[in-house]
Amino acid sequence: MGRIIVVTSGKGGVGKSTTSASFALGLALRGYKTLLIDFDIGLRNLDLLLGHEKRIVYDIVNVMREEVALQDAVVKDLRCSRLALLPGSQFEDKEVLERRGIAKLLSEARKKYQYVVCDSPAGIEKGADMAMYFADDALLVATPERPSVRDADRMIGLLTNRTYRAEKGLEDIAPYLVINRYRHSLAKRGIALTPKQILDNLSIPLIGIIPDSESVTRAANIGEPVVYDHKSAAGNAYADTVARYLGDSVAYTLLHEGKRSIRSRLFGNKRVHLNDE
Amino acid sequence: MSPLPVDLKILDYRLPTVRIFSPDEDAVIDRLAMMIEQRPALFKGMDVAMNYAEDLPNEFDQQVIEEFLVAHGVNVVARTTGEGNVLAFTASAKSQKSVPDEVISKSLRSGQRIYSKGSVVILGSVSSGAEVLAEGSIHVYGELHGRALAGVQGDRNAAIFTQSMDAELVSVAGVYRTGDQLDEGSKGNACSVMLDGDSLSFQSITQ
Ligand SMILES: Nc1ncnc2c1ncn2[C@@H]1O[C@H](COP(=O)(O)OP(=O)(O)OP(=O)(O)O)[C@@H](O)[C@H]1O
Ligand SMILES: [Mg+2]
Repeated sequence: MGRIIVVTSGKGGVGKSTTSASFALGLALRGYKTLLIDFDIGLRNLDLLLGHEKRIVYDIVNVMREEVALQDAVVKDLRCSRLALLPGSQFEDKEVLERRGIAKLLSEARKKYQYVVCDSPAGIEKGADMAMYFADDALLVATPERPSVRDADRMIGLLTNRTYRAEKGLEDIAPYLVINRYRHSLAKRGIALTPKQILDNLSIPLIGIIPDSESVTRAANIGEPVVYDHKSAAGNAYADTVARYLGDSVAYTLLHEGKRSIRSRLFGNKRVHLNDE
Repeated sequence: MSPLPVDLKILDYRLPTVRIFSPDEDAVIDRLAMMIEQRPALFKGMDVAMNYAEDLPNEFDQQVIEEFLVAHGVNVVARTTGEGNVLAFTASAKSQKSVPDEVISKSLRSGQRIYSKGSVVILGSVSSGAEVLAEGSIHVYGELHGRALAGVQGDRNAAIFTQSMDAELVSVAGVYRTGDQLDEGSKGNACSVMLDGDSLSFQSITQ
């Protein structure tokens, strides 16, 4: 049975979709059959982030309405056939998101895929609720700013109350923190929150620090998740995030803006290339 | 949205517009009868546009409403949907038999979808993430970046025409091609898409 991972944040625009795309592709590149589902009904993005926008015939609404089977609606990734996308709908069909349909969709997805990554819309309304309700694990994406951290905190509260696991008294959803758009120089100067400050606030396990990087912008525009870009610090940070999620212990290469990582200064480790910073 | 089943407003195309919100034809007609009874002189001979709320069900009987108005001396000269940016001039208010072509005067943006019971003419472009469904043909005078599905009830003679082909998906009578499989030569060019046997044929339109 596959695991369902929701990528959520509360706050909008902090990098949920970017993270979902790279995390799902990262899992697939590690050999796992992975399904990525876009729960952002009305404002889908993952089709573009994966470069699938011209290969879509059906979407999540067709599956929920049982007009087409899940396996006929998913779009296989051309870079890695172990990754498939179930596109969101670009049209607002709010009624289509209801628990029974999603339960059915996810239980089928669980049988066919080892990981099901659900990209959530912003906010704490119905769409976000539906994306997280059946999750086993959650990636909380937060940027090093207080509003983002407080919204993530709010979301963690909801995860432990308003979900299937909570309502059925099952083991809690496991929340993991991904800090996105990190700039070491800002944290050092006290302008941005430091990872420690964020962790003190949220006290959930940290599995990734993704630098703010122009390679993310480039990736969005060429329709290829940044994890695929081995020359990108952000791409490598996502690969490390996937590795930590899977239980590997990987040291943090906190990035030193523009130049070398702290790690490379301390240990002379040049594993991360910063050609894009 | 108005709590009334129907009202009369002058929208931005300067025609008094009968806006229908309720899926209940009887409620709409009752209310219209009341409005006409209150001010019969106003309605007699008045040219109006019809505006049907986007969320009305497909089975909603537009004809019965329009026939009621025509019977009370109102000229139904145009038909619109949604926010009023969708405009269709009815062929002839009193003797309309066939479904008129819909004329859409603006572009269709991402997330907008229209369904036409006949053929549809779009004067603007169709953005990526927008969708045009028509029981007849689809004419896009601007650029087609989104999805265009003609002949959705099985009309094999339906076709798609555009000044610039860059669709995410085209389909005629259920035979489709996704954007990544379009003919290379058609990309960015004026072209037509028709059904040829069991497959779609793309033909460039030369001026
Ligand atoms: N690490 C990063 N470096 C640079 N830009 C980034 C990074 N992460 C995200 N962005 C940019 O931030 C913007 C928002 O990202 P994204 O769409 O992934 O956020 P989101 O949380 O999914 O937004 P929404 O709440 O609207 O769904 C995008 O323009 C994206 O390219
Ligand atoms: Mg998003």
